[in-house]
Amino acid sequence: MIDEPKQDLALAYVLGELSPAQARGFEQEMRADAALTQLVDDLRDSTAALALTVPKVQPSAQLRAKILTLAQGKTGASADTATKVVRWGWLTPALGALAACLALAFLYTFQENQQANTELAQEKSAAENLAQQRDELSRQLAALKVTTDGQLQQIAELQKQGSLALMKITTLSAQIDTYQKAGVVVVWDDQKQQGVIKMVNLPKPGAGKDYQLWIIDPRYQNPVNAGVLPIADETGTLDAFKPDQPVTSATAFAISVEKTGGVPKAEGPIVFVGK
Amino acid sequence: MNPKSEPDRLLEAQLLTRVAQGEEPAFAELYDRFSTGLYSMALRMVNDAAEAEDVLQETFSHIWRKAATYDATRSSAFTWAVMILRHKAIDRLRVRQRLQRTTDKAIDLNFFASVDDTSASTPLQHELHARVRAALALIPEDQKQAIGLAFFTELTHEEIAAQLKQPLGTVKARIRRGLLRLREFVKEGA
Repeated sequence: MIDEPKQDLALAYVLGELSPAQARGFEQEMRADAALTQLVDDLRDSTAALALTVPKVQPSAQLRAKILTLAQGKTGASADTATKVVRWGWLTPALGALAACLALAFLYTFQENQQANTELAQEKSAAENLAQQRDELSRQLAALKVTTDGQLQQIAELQKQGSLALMKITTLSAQIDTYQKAGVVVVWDDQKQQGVIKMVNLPKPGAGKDYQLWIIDPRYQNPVNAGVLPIADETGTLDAFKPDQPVTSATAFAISVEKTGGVPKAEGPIVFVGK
Repeated sequence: MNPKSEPDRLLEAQLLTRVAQGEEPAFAELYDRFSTGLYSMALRMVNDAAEAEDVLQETFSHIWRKAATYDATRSSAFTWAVMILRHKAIDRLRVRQRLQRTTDKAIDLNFFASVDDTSASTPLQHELHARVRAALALIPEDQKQAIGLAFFTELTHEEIAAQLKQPLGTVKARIRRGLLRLREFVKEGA
């Protein structure tokens, strides 16, 4: 006994309601279940019979001719190339030889021509078939394109929403008066594990010193090193950074002043912090 | 099928086998047997004579190219052809629907009005038509509407539910009950 959900699935399969993946899954089930296959076959037969309830309308005779040309040229049309041998006994041997050569040349050309015509007809028919297939595929492609365009738009929209949702934007506050006029903003992309830092009016760190960026991640005991920052000019500096360890949760960012080239573990004074 | 229609079914399956071998006369005979039923259905679905002709042409083009994939043990040749046509017509309707970007068109829900001038053109098709008609006489109107929408339109079951303002489960149940009833009648003579 096939239960109702399975019957619904069989109907959806017959009516083309299933996605390609669902249909493949269902076909696999059918292969292992003869009763289910029988149900599908019966449903297909009885559903298709509904076509006969439609009022009769005859297609035009021109359409018949057009459709039947689809089949032309597929069968091997064997052209009758029977030829007659003509003897020219009353001519002189030389003339006879010349005539024979001409006849042979003509015969050869004629046969070549016949064969070329046959091949041409077959090629033409094949080309027509291909053109029809191409038209059909174009129509299907147009249908798919409409769907795909819509889906791509949705995906882009979702990605946009998703990307924004995954971005963390943090303004860092100066911890020392000297840095009060400076502005630092960090944009962190959790998914890509990288960020961008914008620094304005940041004073020079001093001889033999560098600014170094740190990411605070509760997973690690120490701040994660995000690299040495370039020295900003008056217009500010925009710099991309990547931490040297994977960050699970960037809860805060900090900038310290370290010796030139940076250090693996923060040692110097923290001049900026932001959550 | 009963003994009267069995030769028809067999003949049509053989015609498809011959079409698969590239026999033009078999293709012409198959066209003469199926074209009226298929064209009538295409017209019912796309409601436009020129488009119905295109659908019929695409269907026969498919039959000509893919006849070798027909499996006579799974369905009748007519069923196979109807399902190809329905697929082609739905493709067109969905393109049309997307281009128009609307689904709120008025749909004639009177799918199975009493039709004597059936599109059946062979004894097998006439017999099938009689069985379908007998079944439809016993199937409740709401089930017939759901079946008609599911078979003759491009609407998904969800869209049918919206069109009929009924829960999806109700619509699925109507289609299931209606088609299972129809199946009993169609199989009766088998």
